[in-house]
Amino acid sequence: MSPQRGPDTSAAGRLQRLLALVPWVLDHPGATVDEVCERFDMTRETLIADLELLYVTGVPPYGPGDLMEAWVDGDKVHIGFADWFARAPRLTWREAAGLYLAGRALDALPEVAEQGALARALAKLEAVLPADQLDRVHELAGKVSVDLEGDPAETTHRTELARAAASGRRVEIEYWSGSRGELTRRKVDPWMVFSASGHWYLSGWCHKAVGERLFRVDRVVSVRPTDEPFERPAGFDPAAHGEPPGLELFAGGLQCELDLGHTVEWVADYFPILASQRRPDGRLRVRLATHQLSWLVRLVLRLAPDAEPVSPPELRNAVAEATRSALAAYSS
Amino acid sequence: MRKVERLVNLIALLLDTRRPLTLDQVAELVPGYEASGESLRRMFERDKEELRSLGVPVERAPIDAWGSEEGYFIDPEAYGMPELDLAPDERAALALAARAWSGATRDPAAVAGLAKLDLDPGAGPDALRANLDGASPLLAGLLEAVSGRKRIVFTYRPPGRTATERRLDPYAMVNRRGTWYVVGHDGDRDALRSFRVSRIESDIRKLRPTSRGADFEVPAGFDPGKLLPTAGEPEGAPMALVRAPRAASRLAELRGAAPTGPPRPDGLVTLRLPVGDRDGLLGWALGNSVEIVEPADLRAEARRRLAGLRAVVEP
Repeated sequence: MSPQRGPDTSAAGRLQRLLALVPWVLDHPGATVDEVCERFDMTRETLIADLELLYVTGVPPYGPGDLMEAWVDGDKVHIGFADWFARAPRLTWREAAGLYLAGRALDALPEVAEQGALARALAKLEAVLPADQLDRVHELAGKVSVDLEGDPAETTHRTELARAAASGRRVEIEYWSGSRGELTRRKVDPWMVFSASGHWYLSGWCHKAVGERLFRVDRVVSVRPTDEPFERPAGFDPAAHGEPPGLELFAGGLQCELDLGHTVEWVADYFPILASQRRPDGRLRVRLATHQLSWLVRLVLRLAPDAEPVSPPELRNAVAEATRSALAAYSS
Repeated sequence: MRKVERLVNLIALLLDTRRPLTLDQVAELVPGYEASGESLRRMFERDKEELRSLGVPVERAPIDAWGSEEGYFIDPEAYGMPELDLAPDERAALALAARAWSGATRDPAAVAGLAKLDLDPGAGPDALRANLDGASPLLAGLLEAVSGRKRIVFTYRPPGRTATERRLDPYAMVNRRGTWYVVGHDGDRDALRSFRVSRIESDIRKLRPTSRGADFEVPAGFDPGKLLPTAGEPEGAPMALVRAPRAASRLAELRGAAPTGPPRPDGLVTLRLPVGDRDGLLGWALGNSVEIVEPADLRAEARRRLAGLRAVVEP
């Protein structure tokens, strides 16, 4: 649970935006309202309010010529008499640290490192940080360990998929479908590789399913690059395809209930459950929905014997059958 | 007069002035400092601290050669972000890093940070994206404490147990598999402990908020990279023998499992693999119709768990 942001934080956020917005507009003369709003992720109303604030600020005696000019002219944002704010303030040590830590973690990925651009950019960043800030950032970097890599098999496949995505080449992959426990071979247009909730994913167009699909990179068994080029859909928006999956697995479908013992209550944190309730015996009853009963059966077996399938009867029966068949192997 | 206006005017004045201005001069020139005496001083100190936290360096210097009184100013050179002079691919790579740090946040401060370097939030190699969720206020508090070596207090809820207050000397932060941990010396247990940040239920409070300097030293040779298990198993680790369906076996083979021979007629593959985390191996085997053959104690445990489940579903 993150603490609520107080009014001071929003005032600080607004001030930071203003100090960055003025030099940006000065550097991009003729920028339109839409362009500024998009860059600063703000609404038109907020921008107008910001310009109105700038219009009444400046230096003493706050007469004409001492105050900033800030208004919308036609559809263009105009800011003038703002020489004090011609440059944005320096990065705070926190901003510098975040950029540096993320940059180092990303540059440990082979597909990023081989480009060389990030290493050069970080060196340029280090060159302009004040000495005390740079020391602090370096010291912190020695105390923060970020590993984006995953295991070696995953890294190999992710590197190949990211290269194919960057060069716009179709791939053929062997993929292990976690929900059904099957291995399939398919051609995919790799749109984007991204990390979310601790896993790397590939989003792209699957020619076997004839639709957009998400693949977990640690379930890719092999990658074969091809020479066939592909195009991303027109107006491809990375943000719209970089969401962790699972929602389609949990949106609607059959509603099931499980009783979870103490040791497996993490399930309630890990999956999007619909409801939970503490039972008199101390267990946690959770309700979740799935389109694939087989997925839930496998989960219950994995948690055996601490998760009890309560309803519906199909789930209980499927678990009973899977348990019998698994136990048969242990009978000898 | 609103606070943001007061601060904008204050920055403009301190950047514009050719010589340091005393607090009384500032209060006279900037609208909004209606207070006087000690409360004026406190108000100005708070503003100054706020500006510093935003990266605006308010400096102090004597106003005359006798050093009788001090004044304030902002050195435009120290204030302005220098040009990084980035090539287009460098700009895109840095935007990727900035986005990876801030994640999906719409925090105005994160957006402003991008603008300071003129990094287009939408640009960059969109073939790859990472998310470190670094902009959360909780993480900011922890990084601050790790950097300043400040002893902290927070409320922590381990899975399935009640929340308790913990005191920690935070040595380091570790991110594995998309999860942040803070690692340090737990004062109540007198031992090294790691805490999952997502299970912290309170703010991060400094135990001695007003003290200057560090509260503790990090032991020499402490290496955060070696704290949590990473991929790969140590040499000479205990091995297991399992029988797995073809699909599960292919995936395991990528991670160091070695088939002892070709698939049997029924399609099962016999594999040898490191035991590693016992519970992890058991869960993987039970959830994927994999039979554990050796070692005997793990085989017995798998059978015990399955029998336990059968007793539950077939009363």
